[in-house]
Amino acid sequence: MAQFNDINTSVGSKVDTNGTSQTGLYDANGNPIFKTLNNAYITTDRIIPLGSFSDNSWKGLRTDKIGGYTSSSSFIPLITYTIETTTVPKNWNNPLVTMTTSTTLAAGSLLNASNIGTASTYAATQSFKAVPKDQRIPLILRLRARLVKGGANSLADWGFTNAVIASSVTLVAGFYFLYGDDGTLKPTASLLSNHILQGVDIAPLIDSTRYYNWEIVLDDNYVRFIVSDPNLQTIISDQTILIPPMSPRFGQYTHWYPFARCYADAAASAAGVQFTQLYVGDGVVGVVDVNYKKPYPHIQAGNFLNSQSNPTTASQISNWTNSTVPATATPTNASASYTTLGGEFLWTTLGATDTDYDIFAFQATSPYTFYCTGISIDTVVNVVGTAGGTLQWGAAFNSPAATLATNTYRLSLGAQSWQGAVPVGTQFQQIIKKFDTPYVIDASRYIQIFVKLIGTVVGCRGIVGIEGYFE
Amino acid sequence: MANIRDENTGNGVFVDSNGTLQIGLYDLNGNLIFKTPGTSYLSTDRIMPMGGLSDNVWRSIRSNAIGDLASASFTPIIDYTIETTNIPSNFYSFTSSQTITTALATGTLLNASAIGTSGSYAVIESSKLIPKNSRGPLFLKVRARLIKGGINGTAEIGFANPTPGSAALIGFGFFFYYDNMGTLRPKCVFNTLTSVLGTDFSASISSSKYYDWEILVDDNYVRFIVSDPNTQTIITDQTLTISEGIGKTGQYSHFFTYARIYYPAAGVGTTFTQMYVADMMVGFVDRNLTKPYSHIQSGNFLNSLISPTTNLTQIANWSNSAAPSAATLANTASYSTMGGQFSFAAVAGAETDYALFEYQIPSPYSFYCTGIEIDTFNTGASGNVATPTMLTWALGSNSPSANIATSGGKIVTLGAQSFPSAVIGSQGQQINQHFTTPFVTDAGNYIQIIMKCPIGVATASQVFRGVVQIEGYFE
Repeated sequence: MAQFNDINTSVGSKVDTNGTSQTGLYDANGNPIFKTLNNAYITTDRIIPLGSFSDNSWKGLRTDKIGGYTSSSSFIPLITYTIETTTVPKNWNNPLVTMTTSTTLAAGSLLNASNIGTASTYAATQSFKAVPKDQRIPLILRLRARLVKGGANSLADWGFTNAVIASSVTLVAGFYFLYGDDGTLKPTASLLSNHILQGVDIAPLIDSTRYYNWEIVLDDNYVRFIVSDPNLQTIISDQTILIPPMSPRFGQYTHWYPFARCYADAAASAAGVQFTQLYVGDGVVGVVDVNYKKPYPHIQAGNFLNSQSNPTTASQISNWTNSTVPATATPTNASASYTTLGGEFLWTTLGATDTDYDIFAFQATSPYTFYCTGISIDTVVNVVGTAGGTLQWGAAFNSPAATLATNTYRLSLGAQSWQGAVPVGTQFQQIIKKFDTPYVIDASRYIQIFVKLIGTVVGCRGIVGIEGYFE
Repeated sequence: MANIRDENTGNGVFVDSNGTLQIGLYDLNGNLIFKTPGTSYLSTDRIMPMGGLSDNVWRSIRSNAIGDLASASFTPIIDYTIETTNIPSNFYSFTSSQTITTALATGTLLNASAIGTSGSYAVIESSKLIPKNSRGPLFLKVRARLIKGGINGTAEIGFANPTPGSAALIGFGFFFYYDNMGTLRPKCVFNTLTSVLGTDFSASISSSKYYDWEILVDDNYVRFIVSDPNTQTIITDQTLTISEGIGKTGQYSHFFTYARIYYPAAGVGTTFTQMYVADMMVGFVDRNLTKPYSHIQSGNFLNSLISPTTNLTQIANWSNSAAPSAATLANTASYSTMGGQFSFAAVAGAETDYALFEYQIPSPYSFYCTGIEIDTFNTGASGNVATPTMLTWALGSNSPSANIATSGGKIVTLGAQSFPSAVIGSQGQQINQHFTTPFVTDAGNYIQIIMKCPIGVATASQVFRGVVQIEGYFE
């Protein structure tokens, strides 16, 4: 006898030889959920929502508008907030008036370090780069930050804005978390310097002693604001603000600056002796759901990690001082004439033929690895040569010390030759190297550019360009 | 008659004509789990957790914080691949009193001499610091065997910064920690003395077995997994979260990967702690970096600068401040190097192909040649100013023999250089080739730089010198 019988037909349900009841999944209209392959799709078909876990929380699987599943590995980083020193990261600006910013590895960048509430004061950190928001390409910001909640008129906001921050007033346009002058903390969208949309207040849920993850997903039709506790691995808030139906484009602007700011829009009152402060410990901005095939060197260069500046201090690292002749080198084998990543060089004479002269030796800034993708050398005679000869150039990569005498790994770069006496101004053929396979220098090791004289000496001036990126 | 009826409405269940009981899935609030595409998401909607299979163990499918499905896509940064009796070129070793040995059969053995001297240590550490950025998880997998010694025989595997290359306490790091009392736990260290420890699983580890030790460093947590690759079982799977009072995971932006044995005090007993590290890989997940393969390989010290198997040996012909030896031009190699400096006296014009450079690709690697540059200039006496010389150059790729007359290697033209006169300092035009499609030479075969001098006069005093640069990567 069947365990269950249809109410109308009295058909009995089956049980297999293992004792398993034969059941099927049906929707509320009596249609089976399971499909036969190649069956036609009809709009009344039902789906099973799928989920996965992240940071110990279950997440509904996200798709794009046409049902394409989204992959975590589609994330393309554009800007990072990576602290290496006691200043804000070199790819971030630090505009401020009266308020101060301090930065430590242990705590991150502290906005309003001076803990003041004077009217019209502010301190901000904001990327130099504005990142594009294109249709169908969501933009994501994640900041690890700690909000120290102050009293009335002592505000903080962090997220995306359309322009360079230069005041303590409401941002013209943007999508950000706003700790307002009334002590509320709300997801906020602003336009024309007005807060046009705001979510619900989450200030009571935020502990001033804790860092949280603050995430903003800027999509075509909505902005999603997520706050999570990284230690407890719980979601504090997950709110979505929808684009108003009359708006032709969300946010009006095409490019957005990630930022964080503390400010006082009027004389602030302190909560006890505490004005609002904000620690920014870590962060990243990127895009998802798009297959740009953006080359890795471009990603790194876009994050200010190319060869034009020191990856930790933003200082220029080639030898080129404004409107200044380069120092005259006395090249030797044992030590470099210039400790820069290329730039201008000048020598009036060289020593013995076939000696390798160390012209440039640059130490890759710890903790970064440098990938060299190209080198160019231009050389011009500046002291008359009396007979023919050749300058043979080479590079030594990943050397443990700034010397050619020991432990170098050499690569030839090319030769520049002259015939007979050469007058001042004679230019040798340019050497241009593009490395499809880059050469790599680990942190604290050296890249060296050296030259060997074969023949009769000439004095030379020139420039060495070194292209690559830090990782 | 239906056996199940709603207690309020009296509705009975349906059974279809195949005898299948018609059921639906509901949540605890009586809401149907199934959704109609296009209907609005409600925060009370429920999901079906997904799972997948790995090494015979079921895993929950991971996503990122906004529900994007995590794929297995992985960008490798550093691997630890043993080819010889040395540690790989992309790792450094540090020892004090202890020793390190390496064998293909067993891997690298830390504290090979099995001693327990106070302050002694043996460390292998990646030469490269690996970046950990926000929203860019870092992943380490090590196949290692821990021989658990007595008191004070400590061992670690994982990430650290600053360098763990001594017996000093780790400043910042995430690692498996076999401590001085014989417990084995995941450990996160923040600022040397502040740490978070997981639970002890030492009793689950056999000193005679290799295990997979995996560490996933994400923004908010570090996950430690140890599995038995033979029984395909999970030994431990622990997650340590980052303290809410810390500004960034681990504070530093970059970390070394490492393994270490050290004795903070004299070892007790007769068994001293040792560790075999046989295989290792570090890389990124959850980011679309589009890092070119040549950059990945080069970052792993697999470019044309050094031998992929002989620890940090330059393979181009360039000795410090020395002229190259004069080549004896023949069908076999004048220089058995990966390019570099060359020198030869002018030869009579002929159709003879000379193997100026031949380099045998170290087994088991293949070499992908992505570019070649050749510069040639005249350094000899100017006694033959009227003698023109023409040189043509070619690449021999994947030649099974060192003799180009019989090697059967495939020749690819590179270019020609002309010297209308033989004045000292005359230079042929630079040959600068970039191969969008690389030329590949397999393990044990030869890459050859072939030179022919169709026009020339044999003149001992007329010496051509130059440099050949060969660019590419090993795989």
